[in-house]
Amino acid sequence: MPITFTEQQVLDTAPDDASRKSGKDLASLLKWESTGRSAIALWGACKGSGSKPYQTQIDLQQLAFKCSCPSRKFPCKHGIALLLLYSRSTDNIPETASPAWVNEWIEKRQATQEKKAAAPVTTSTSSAKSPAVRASRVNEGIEELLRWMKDMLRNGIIHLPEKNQTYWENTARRLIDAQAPGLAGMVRNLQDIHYYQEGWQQQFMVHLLKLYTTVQGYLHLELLPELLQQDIRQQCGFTVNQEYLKSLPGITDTWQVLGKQITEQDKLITERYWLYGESSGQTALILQFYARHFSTPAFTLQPGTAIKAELVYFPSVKPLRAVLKEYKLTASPMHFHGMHQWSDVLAHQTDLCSSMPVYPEQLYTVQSLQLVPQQQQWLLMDQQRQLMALKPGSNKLWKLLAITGGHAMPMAVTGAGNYYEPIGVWSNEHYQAL
Amino acid sequence: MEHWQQLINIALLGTGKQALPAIPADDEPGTALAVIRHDATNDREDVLLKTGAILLNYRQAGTTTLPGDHLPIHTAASETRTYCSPEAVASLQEAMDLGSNALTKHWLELCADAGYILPPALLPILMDKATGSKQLRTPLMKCCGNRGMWLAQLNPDWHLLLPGHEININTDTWETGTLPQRCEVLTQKRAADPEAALTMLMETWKQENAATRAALLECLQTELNPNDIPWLQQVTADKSGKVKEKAWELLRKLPASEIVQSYQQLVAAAINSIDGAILLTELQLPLPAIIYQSGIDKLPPSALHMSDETYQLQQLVAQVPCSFLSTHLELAPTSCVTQLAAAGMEAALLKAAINFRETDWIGYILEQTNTFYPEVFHLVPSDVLEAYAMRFAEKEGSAVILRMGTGTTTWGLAITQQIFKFIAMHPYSYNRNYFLELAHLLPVDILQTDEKNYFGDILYNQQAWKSLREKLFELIACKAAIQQHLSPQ
Repeated sequence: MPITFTEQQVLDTAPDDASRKSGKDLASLLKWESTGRSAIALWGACKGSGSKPYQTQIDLQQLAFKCSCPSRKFPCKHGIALLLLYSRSTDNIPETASPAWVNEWIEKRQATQEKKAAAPVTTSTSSAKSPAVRASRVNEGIEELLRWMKDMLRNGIIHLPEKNQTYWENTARRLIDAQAPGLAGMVRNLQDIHYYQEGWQQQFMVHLLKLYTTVQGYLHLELLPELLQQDIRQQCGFTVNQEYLKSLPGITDTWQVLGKQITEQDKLITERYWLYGESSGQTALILQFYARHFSTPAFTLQPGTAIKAELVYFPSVKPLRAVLKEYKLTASPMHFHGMHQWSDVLAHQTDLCSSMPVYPEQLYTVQSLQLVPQQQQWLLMDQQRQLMALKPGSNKLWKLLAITGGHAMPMAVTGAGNYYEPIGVWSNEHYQAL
Repeated sequence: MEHWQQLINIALLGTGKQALPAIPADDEPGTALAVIRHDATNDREDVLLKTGAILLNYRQAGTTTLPGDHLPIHTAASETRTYCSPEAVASLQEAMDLGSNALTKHWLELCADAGYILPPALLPILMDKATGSKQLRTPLMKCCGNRGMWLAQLNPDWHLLLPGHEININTDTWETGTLPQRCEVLTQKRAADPEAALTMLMETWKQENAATRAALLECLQTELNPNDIPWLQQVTADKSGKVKEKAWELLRKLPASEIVQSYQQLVAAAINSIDGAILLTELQLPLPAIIYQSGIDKLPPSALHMSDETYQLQQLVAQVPCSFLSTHLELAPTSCVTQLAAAGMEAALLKAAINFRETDWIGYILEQTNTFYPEVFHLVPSDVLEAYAMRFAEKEGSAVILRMGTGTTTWGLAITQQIFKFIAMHPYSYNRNYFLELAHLLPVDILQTDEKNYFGDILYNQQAWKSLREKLFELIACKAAIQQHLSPQ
């Protein structure tokens, strides 16, 4: 069965609106001198402003694009257009023997992957050149951070709404200098709290105490289990060599891509892909970072599709974040698998915080959730009529209400504690990413 | 819960001012908290932070749900109509991507006419769009299905989309609303029940100031009828000049009013026919004072090449129904038009035809005239109008485009070709954005024609036109796709 995409899924791969529009403009066979497809690739020659037509090719197995046009955007409008033609009807593009330039690219990609897989990885964990120097810097940073936190508590947090950006940013920058970017990020979380909203004190204390717990964990690393040490080091900002991770055996499964969340800070784009393993029943979070206008994402996954992939989890007491070792798009009916009710979610979190007090947002798939209003707030009710709050600021509410019509449906949600954000819903057994 | 709140209160005021929290004796974390409190190496802030860290984890390990038994469940009623096809959805998406509200509206209207409804996932984006674009509201709500109605009731931002919402505003705001709102109320009331609207206005008339009176009086244009005459006659004695002027303006539109009857007598005395030939005699000036009070002017001193008599007669002709002239002169309308036009009365005659909405007479005038009258657009059937517009498309192209753009029916192929030719000759005056809101008027048949036939090679090959043509045809192709995929069930 050929891998298919919906038009929307193809348009979602575009880097911006202009590319989306240009791609749609070019998605007419009249604008292509030739097109072709095989089981693993699509290719075409599109007339451009140059003397020779642009050669566009798409690796269907991993949804990778290549084009001879000079565009810096990725994928370029030619790649989007070719895939759009294919998504509208596979018959739009004739099945033929692939030309040499396509074979060459596909073989090169395969060779690169094999080479990566076979390459010996020398460094086992951290990429830091001098761990002792870094550890000392982090310790110094933490010492200052603790002093700053204590000063704040001594004087009272009641004055925090009056603080300007510098108050938070100085501490965050100091932690960056101390090579603890993870802790800097946690300080920025404190800065991002809405201090003029009711209940900010609760939110602030939760974030502050999570930061404090992480710091204390780092200061007492040697007393903690090995895997928890790894979690805390990662929370502080120590990286794990991903090439090393990819050299380890992973979990091969059909992974449903249930959601994609994109955030941007200082032109650094972070993509968060939420995956669910159909056979393993495990959830995974894959992060991808790239700088806007300077680099392109290494891979693109479409929510609502599935991949046959080997994933390697980062070392953790409760593994969630993972790297994609190798993957191919695969056809899947995207059936729902998951938990029955909120009590299952809470049991999972109780277990989670018993071994990992500061844990990230998780992905849950819950069989039957329904949006219900209460005092100008929307809640998610399970089949036992138990409630959890919708994450404040979620922009998915009205789309979710439109799709569900207020009826109970299986949903994929991300979140932790009392707040959850739906990222997709199974409507009539068909998964629809929000 | 109590200890956690206590901890926050201490943090709020500061450990320098507040006593440390009491150790919970019987709670599970009590033992751990006692160890922290009794460790002499911990300062007050250490104690607060460590206590907080333990309480935080204790609380998150025991997170519970809230019971929802008491909450009412709101669900949308199931749909009775069919969803439109994915191809139709794609054409809607295309219209929105192109940024054309006109095509989006066209899509919604066709969808409603065909009896289809929108897929639910598209509703929020369209409802947001319709809150900012009034023209989309009615067509959207006709094809949004039960799901859309349900969503509009739930979201306060979308309440204004609900049918009847504006009527609610009307009844509430006649007494307290702003002037534009009150005008809207009166106009709507007037359209539904002219007598009741007049009574409503008469009841508050004395309390209104002059500017409000003038603005509200203007609303009586809607469904103006002979029953309004007695009251309007009274209003001509109003203190405000502006109100008087408005009242006369309305009376001049009513053939049964005394003033129009007086005009008719004066015109009948000045224009007669003998053996089918129209004869104009000079008016006896000055006219009765009431005629001047009603808005007929004397010739300004600066006017050249015209006598005062002719000037005033032209004004009088413009204020009597054309059908009166035809009856009085015992001549066919076309003959009246030809002869009066030759006597310099064409503009006055057209004004009268527009004033009294005599569509046939407008048509007769347009057939014969060599003058471009922008004000007649959309007052006559589109075939008559297009034939008239064709004669001026080259010389008065920009005005023709401007006026044709205010219509509601699709342009004919011939006039569209003429307009495109004009655009090609003026490539820097028009761009794609200009046509975004006119796209629904462009005929899809033009996609099948070859412009070379009516353009000539020179114009056709002009780069600026080629570029604009591509964009225009993109809009027309979108309209064609919309029509193709939304044919009635």
